[in-house]
Amino acid sequence: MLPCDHSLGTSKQQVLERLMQCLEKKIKEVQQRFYDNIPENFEKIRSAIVNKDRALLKSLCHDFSGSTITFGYKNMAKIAKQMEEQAFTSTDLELKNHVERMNILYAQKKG
Amino acid sequence: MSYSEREQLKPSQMVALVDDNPQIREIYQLELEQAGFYCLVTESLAGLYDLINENNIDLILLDNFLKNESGIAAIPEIKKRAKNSRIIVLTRSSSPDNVVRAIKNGAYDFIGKNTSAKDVVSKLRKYPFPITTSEVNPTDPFANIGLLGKSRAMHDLSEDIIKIAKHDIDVIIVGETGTGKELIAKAIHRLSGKRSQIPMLTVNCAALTPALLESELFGSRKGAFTDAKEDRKGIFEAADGSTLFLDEIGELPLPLQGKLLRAIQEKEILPVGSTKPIKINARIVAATNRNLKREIAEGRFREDLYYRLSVVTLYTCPLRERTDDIEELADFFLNLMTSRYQSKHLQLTKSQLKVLKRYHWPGNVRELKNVIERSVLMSDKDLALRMDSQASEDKQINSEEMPLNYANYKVNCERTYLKKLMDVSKGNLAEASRISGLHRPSIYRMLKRLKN
Repeated sequence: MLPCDHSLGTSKQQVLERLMQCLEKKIKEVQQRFYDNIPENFEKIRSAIVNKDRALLKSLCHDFSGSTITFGYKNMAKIAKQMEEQAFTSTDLELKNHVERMNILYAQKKG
Repeated sequence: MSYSEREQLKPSQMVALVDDNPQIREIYQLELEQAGFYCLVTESLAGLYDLINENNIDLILLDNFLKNESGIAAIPEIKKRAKNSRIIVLTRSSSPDNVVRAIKNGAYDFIGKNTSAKDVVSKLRKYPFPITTSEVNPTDPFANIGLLGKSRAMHDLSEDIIKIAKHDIDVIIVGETGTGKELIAKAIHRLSGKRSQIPMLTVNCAALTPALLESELFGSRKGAFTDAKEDRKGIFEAADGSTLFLDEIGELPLPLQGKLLRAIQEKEILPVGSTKPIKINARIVAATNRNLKREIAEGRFREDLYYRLSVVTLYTCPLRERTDDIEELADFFLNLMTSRYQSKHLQLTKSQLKVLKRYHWPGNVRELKNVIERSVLMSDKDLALRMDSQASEDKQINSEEMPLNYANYKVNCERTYLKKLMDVSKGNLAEASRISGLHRPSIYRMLKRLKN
């Protein structure tokens, strides 16, 4: 159910305007929640690198690149996609560097 | 997107999104809803099949890489279960092999997932989808029309549509606002054989300034005006081989009416700034809510254009004259809205249906849809019918006081409506136009007429 209360106005315009506001607010909340969870994703990716679980790493990078592009973080998505493609061929150091590059992009975005 | 932008959207499409990532599902659902689509989401193909069983889905957004499942491989099965839905594959791997496989399997389009949800949704808004994407059913032509209602008026109208659609003649649709003129244009296009293979183009003649409308319709050549930095194709050219729907043709400025007449008669156009005519091949379907004969008498519409267009005239019946259809329409919108707002199943009571049938629906089916949408949004347990303030006022009209002469009754209603509109907009015509969806000159004319 949409996050609308029942104190809506009575005209069609009021209802739709309120609906638009509700959706806009909700979109911002979801975007913020996604953004706040990005470091958690970095941690999971780092831990897969450390544990040499390349299959898991590939799957995490696949999911991460899909969601970052959907939320509009194009550069971060590109790096994640690259990591997904090179999950079995890159060295640990190369992969860790990729994570650091994403971390810098994240910090810049936050700043 | 603002309220007014959303109001200008085409009638909403039902979209089902299949993606195994919950964050992606959530943001897509919100972006789609904000853009005016009805959106249902699911994480798997099994979930999609359930949605197909329970809903009329126009469009399926399908992620290719689902957990242990391939979206592209499942397209033939989805097509079997949802013949009328169009499938768009979303994937991050847009290799040519995948694209070819998706299209061969029956996908309508393929969107590489290298763009944000917002951008994908704006792309979807530009698709020329009809409200129902039904393919033509050769055994039951009535099923192809996509109009709801079993009243005599709708039956006759459907018969006329079937008769004229296959002949390559121009058509004008006349009827009050909200009676479904665009739906009829879409039905004609859908049943028009070869032309239906190319999407129909729509132009609202009242939505653009005369200068812009001219260059939009007929195109322009480089240097024709300050901003014309390159040659630009007009909509007539773009609609080559298809149907061009000219909505609110009664609002077309007189000088452009001459140009339109030439386009219809000679099947050629002259782009702005050009001296070289271009041959065109577009079927014209026009619509208006105005009385064009009166417009001709008052010098606002060209008689020759009227007679050229009115070879076939279809009249849409106001909702108050087909009250038999109200129950079916109300149920249809109720199902759409409860699904859209994921609210619990709601039902109209007999007394609510009676209220709906008694009301005179000046805004016709569009108004009924709005009433149902508002009611679903504002209802808790049971459906609480929320008619707008106009309806409540009308309920108080004593039937004995109601003039039985239709012209007088219409004037009374218009007067009440304008009074309310002017109150709400505090006499500001621009605001009144935004609220009512009527054009400023129309409101001004109504005010002037009622004052006289």
